[in-house]
Amino acid sequence: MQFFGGSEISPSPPVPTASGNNAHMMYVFNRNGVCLLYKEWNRPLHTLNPQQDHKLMFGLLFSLKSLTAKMDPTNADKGNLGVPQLPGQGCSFHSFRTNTYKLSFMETPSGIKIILVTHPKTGDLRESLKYIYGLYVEYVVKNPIYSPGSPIKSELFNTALDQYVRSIS
Amino acid sequence: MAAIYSLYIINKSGGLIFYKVNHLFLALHLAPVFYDLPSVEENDDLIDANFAGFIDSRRDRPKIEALEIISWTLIFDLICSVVCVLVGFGKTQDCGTKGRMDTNDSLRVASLWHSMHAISQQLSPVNGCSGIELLQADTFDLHCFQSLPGTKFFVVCEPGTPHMESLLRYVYELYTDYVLKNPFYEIEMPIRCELFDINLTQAVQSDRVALLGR
Repeated sequence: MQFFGGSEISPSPPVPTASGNNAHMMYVFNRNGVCLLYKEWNRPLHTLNPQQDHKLMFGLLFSLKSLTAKMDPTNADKGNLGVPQLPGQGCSFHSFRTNTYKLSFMETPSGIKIILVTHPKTGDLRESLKYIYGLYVEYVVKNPIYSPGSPIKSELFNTALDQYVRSIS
Repeated sequence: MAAIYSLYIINKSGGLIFYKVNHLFLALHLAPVFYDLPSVEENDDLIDANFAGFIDSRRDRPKIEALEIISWTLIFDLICSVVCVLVGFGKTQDCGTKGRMDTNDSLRVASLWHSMHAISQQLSPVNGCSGIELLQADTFDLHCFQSLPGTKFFVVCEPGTPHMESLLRYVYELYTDYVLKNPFYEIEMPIRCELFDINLTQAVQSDRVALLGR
């Protein structure tokens, strides 16, 4: 599975998909399930408190990855259901859609999971998620003060992210 | 031949009541691994391209006729079915060979899907979510339809296969006609209705799927 074909440091953002689609919220998790970032732009309904919500989201993604790896019809050799998969091992899903939202997901080889929840009519956001990962690398990972595994508090990152996500909305 | 890998039906409580695998399609995908055939690339004329390419590559054979392709297909399908019957898996129509799931795994996958479907409703940012309708993965798409009483029908197909929504609604119609209206069928139990199987097989063939897209 190819993650990043280009060798640019900060690729230019891809052309925004259909206009008028609002982003609802965004999550960034690391490989241990710690929620590094949670951003909310438009969320009228809160069913659970934030900690439970993060745990539920991470659990859902973990189980869905396990499910897709097991259900992969083109792979003859599959592990057992429930065994944690390494990033990039086995088939992984990149989005799912319900009648009220669309969730786009990307996992990097280092285990960083980026999730964007948008309007159901949004197109394929894989390129946008790669760009957001590029922003993360530039503003967060390369920040010498940031300690990996802790929640992201970088103002520059938040601003750039906000600006970019609003441009794809 | 439609680009459908398998079809599942789950009852209200999350138990698998029907599971059908499209053997020939699955076998063709794995055939390059085992039989050194040219790899499957395009959806259109899948079987023709595959077998014609295989046969054309043998220089001493003349160019293949359409009838010969069809007969190769039928023979392959027959062999798969015979192997399945011999191995002893009955109506659930699955083989425990590579590339397919055995019965226990299909049960686990079905109940996992049932739970994931429910959890996805909890995580919705707005009211009125009815669960996952489409899951897109690298090598397959999964379309799911939930009926009003809570029975879920989902199909695993090649990425980008059209008309799956209408196929699922048609399968729901077949389910109500041949299964629910059958006086000997116990509700929520595994489906063992011949007519349902026959009509379903017909519906899954490619020309029918296109016609269903109305």
